[in-house]
Amino acid sequence: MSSVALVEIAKSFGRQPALVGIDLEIADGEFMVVVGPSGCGKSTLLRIVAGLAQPDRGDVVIGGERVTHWPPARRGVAMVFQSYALYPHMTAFDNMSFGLEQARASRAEIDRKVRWAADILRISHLLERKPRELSGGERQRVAIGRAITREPGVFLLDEPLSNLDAGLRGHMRAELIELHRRLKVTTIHVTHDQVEAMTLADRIAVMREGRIEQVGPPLSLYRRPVNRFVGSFIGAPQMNFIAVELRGYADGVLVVGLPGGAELRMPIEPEHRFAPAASVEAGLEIGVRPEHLIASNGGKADLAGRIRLVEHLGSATLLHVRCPGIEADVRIQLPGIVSWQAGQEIAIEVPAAQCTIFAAGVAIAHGG
Amino acid sequence: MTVRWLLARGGFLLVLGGFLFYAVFPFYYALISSLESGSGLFEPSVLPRSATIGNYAAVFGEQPFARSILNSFMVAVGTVAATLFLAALAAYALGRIRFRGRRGVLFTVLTISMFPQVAVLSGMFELIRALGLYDTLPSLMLSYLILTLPFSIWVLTAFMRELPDEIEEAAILDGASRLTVLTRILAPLIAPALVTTGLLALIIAWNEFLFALTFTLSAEARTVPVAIALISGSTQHELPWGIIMAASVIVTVPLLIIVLLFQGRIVSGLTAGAIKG
Repeated sequence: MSSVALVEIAKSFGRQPALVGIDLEIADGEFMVVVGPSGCGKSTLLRIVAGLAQPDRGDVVIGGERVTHWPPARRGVAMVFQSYALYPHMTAFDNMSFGLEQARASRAEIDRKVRWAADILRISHLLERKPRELSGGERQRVAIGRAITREPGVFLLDEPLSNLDAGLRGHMRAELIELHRRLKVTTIHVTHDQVEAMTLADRIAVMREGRIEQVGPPLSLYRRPVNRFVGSFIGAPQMNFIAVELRGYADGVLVVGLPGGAELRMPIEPEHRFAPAASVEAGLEIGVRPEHLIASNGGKADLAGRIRLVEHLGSATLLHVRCPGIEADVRIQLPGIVSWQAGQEIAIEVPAAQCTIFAAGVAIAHGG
Repeated sequence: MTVRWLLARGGFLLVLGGFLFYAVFPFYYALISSLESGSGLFEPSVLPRSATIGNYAAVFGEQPFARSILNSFMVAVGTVAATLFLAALAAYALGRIRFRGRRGVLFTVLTISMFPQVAVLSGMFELIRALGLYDTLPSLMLSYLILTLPFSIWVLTAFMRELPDEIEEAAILDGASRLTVLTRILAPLIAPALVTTGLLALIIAWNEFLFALTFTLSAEARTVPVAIALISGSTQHELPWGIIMAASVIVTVPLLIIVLLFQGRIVSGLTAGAIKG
């Protein structure tokens, strides 16, 4: 069991900066998901924790020890690779015992630990098979088994589910949660899939272009994104962004006007309260999630438009609405199956309590 | 369609037949000649008229041919072992570790393989004399490395490069040293390449003539190709073709058997299942 701290980690490949001053603390036993689009540096970060890559600057601290220059094996970490990276010429058992063998464990101990891990992962019947005789999900389990037999202090997962088909992925997600609950090992899980991040994480770190944009529990990122990028990256379907006008800016309250003329009032975040109005006015937009918009039946109508497309998902319906004065379609997600059809006029209510206001991409006011 | 198909098929078989004849007939002719005796040799025929093993007995009777075969065997095995060991180490460095001058080293290795043997002969002779290896088997093993190492290093380096980095990284995280990574993880994965290069090295070492002729003197250190060349008849004007053919057959057959045996091991796709597939 170990906590992990990354202190001002920087790394570049040639002139290309990959990581720019990363600070991140992960508590003992915590499940941290690092999420971001491809090329944001998240895998490099993981490799630095593992010791497979060296940072140009900064320190890696595991369990209170500064391990920046320690070889990987000494750090007490285990990693599951995206491609699984099983040893193809060895049986599942040998794959899982290789690390213990290198650590000069006794034969009885190796046998006990491999069988313990195989039992947890329900692969006891596959131990004599080679990787090519296993299905994708089974290989995945062997790769996880290889990592847990060594009882690491930190468990590193590099997009472990991305090679599985959708059904299996959902299943393995549940198993990872179960596994973490059982072993309580500090885990760093890297993924580009925000659904994985939302469902697995105790806390999520959202990365972009070598920086961490926001760290926090999944629902806090969902409700109160600090900037436009986090708002658009977390949550599916994606957040709507609608350009708005500044109508009022006083006493810590921001009043903005939607393209149709309707107004929204929201309290400004304390740290942005004293920013000059001119700096706020530039690039002002509201972000609101499709599932929070309400199809208005004769009630309050903040926006009006014509339905361009209806996507039936079964459990929900997604309407794409063309509104005058708004560049992109406004997406509304309504629960269940609805009777709205393409071509119909629709009035939309925008609940201020569920909106976030961004000025030049930075969140300055949250409704909730 | 059928006429064109027949023509294409017939043409293909014809080319195949011609190629097979070109490759196999000399050996077949050596085989039947070795079974002829006396003047039968000089009346060409496709089937042997007599079948005697007189020539074979003579090969072993008139010179220490068994000794030569043993020498060839030891030289070949020694050369292959040294080649694979050195080439695997070199290929690991050249194929999987980034360092300055890697390309330079690779091209130097390639250049060496372009020197004609005669060009290095005198220098090599001096080296072997200085090391006190003249007229010994190690002199041949050492000199054959010049012939076998360049292509072995290139082939193994190419295979090493193909292996996914993540397998090696997984082993490093498992606590394996570089040597363990090479012997336990990478070497088994490039086994087909090791078998292939090992076979080629074996054939080169088994057939080599010029170095063997130059660096050995006595029958104790003589290898088979030289021994065959030195087979002479009872008079200066007689070339004992029957005996020479018998000797040729004797030294070719083991090679054929080895190649056929290992053929099955030269399989690719051993890495299947390593990564998602």
